Amino acid sequence: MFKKVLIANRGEIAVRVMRACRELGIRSVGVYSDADRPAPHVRYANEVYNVGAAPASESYLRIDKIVDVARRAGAEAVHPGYGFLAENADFAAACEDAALVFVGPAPATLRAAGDKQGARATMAAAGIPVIPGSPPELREDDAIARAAAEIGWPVMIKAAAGGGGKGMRVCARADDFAELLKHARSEARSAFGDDAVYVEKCIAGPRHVEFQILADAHGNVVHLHERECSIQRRHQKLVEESPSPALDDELRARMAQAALKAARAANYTNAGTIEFLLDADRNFYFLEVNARLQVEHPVTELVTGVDLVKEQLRIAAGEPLAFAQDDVKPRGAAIECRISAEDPDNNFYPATGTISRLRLPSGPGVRFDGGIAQGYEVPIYYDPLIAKLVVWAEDRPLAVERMSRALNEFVLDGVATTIPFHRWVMASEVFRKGEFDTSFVEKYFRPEASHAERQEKAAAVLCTILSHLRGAEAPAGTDGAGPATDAWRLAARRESVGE
Amino acid sequence: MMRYWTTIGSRTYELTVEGEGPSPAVTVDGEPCDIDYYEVARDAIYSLILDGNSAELWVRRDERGGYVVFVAGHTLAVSVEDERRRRIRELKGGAGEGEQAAAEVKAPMPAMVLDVLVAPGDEVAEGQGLCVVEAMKMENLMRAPRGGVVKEVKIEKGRGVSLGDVLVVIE
Repeated sequence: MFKKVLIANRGEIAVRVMRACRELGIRSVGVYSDADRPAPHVRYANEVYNVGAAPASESYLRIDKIVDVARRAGAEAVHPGYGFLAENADFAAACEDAALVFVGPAPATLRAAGDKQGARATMAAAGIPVIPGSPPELREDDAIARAAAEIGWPVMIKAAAGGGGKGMRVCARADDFAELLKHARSEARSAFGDDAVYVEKCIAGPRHVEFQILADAHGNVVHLHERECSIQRRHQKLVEESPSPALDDELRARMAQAALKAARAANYTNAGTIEFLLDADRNFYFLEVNARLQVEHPVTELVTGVDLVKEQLRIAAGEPLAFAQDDVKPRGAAIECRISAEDPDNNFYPATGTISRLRLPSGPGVRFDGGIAQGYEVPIYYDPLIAKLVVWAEDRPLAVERMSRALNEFVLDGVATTIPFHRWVMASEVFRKGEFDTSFVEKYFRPEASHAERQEKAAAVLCTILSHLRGAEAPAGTDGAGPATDAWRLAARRESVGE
Repeated sequence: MMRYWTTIGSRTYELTVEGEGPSPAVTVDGEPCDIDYYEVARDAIYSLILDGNSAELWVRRDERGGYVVFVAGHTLAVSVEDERRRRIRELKGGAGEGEQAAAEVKAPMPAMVLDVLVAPGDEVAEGQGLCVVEAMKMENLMRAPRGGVVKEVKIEKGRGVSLGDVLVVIE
């Protein structure tokens, strides 16, 4: 096993990987941008180096600087986390050239997985169902429009170099196509530096179900069952769970076989995810290979008991998998809520601010993966995902209750987050029944004031007593009074002049 | 005995408070309550036992002299009025009514203006797109919070805006 590993990432995932390193007796080398000096992952690392200015393009995306730091620090391997350089074939190749082990698939595999249309062709050739779409050689707007009309409306416009929902648009009719194509291209250009797009048939009422794969360098491939990721907003996942309430054993077995076949067809090594769309008639289609550790990997860890980051490191170190498919026995149910600095009351706009107070949920079956701390200012430069709350319980209804309980214990003040949204999801009857698709949030979520009679009454009583005591400390009308009186007078004066 | 009107959202509670110890005499909407409160952390965390029901409340003052309370996962904005303050507001009441203030559409985050869809003088309906901004690699269509006439467009295509900058004013 390695003695020292560089983690080319920040935030919660950097901390997650460093935790695995610490348990394996590996020294972790962190990197940080100028904006991240106060970030918790910097404090968690054993060694840590600055790699440049705040914008990711000048720090976390700088292959040259990160490889240079890894060599100088004497790291043997580089773990990319997710996002940033995780699926960048040039980065994996640069690591290899510098005699560093890249913790992930080979550069050629990354290149093939990143080429979404090429990957689709590979999977179709391997006999895995794919969604009908326009061929990769179509580049011109007019030709793509004709292909879209042939496939039949509605269609999905997707960035060829894409992922994570960026540059993706649904188009319901021919009249809107030109406009949406323009937006998709411009978003693809700014997100991936490549404005190539293609179209795919839009699957009605789809659910997003993905399979976790582990493949070692010795030809062993296992799956660690599925994750349901249908609770999304604008193609960004918000809640994930395992097992999927949409699968029965028969369908699960068929999809798992397809996932294993896909991993073999892609010549995959290390941890990866095969994403599928499941339509209302329970047909499934290959969507893409995510050639990295997923954000939502903890739900799989909780139901299977497998530590995916440790497995990644073992596989990268050349060890064979220590278990076979039959040894993977999932138990119970796990749910993850992504805690993002986004305001659900304000269209999920990214929020910034300083976390002035923080109390993390705990107790039986609760796991918290975070890159935050009290006093931490959430920077504007990076992804708004700041933490993940994950629970495990004996079955799905108990896991939902446990998540509700954990969310109620969570205090995070100073920055708007998705916590209230998740409370709403856990209370939703539709979610509880498990009968939802990827349109769930759009269809049902309406920001509304919380109604909790007893808690409201308690808050009203307490605040009134606090006001009463402030008034008593500094009675109105006395000069040299405390801040309460000053504020009161100021307010009165302002009101009297009609401001 | 002091009277208070304490508002959370659309609900206003009428309270009376007498005494200053940990167990003051309190009525809520005319009903006497059994109260015991304990300051766990100064000006921050309180334990309240209200008629036998236990609650832990995390409290801070907001900029306008009100309170923000976290209780069992709920975030509540609480404002407390005493009799004098209430009277002042009531005397002033009505003066501002009937007038609809101009609506300012502000940048919800630091962003780049990709497109401006309206010009001063345009009539817009509620929900109509005003401009497209991009931040964190996502394009966002900024919509009119209500119908009206565009009074001012304070942005230009291709320029950056900071959090809270006024983009468009609707009258």
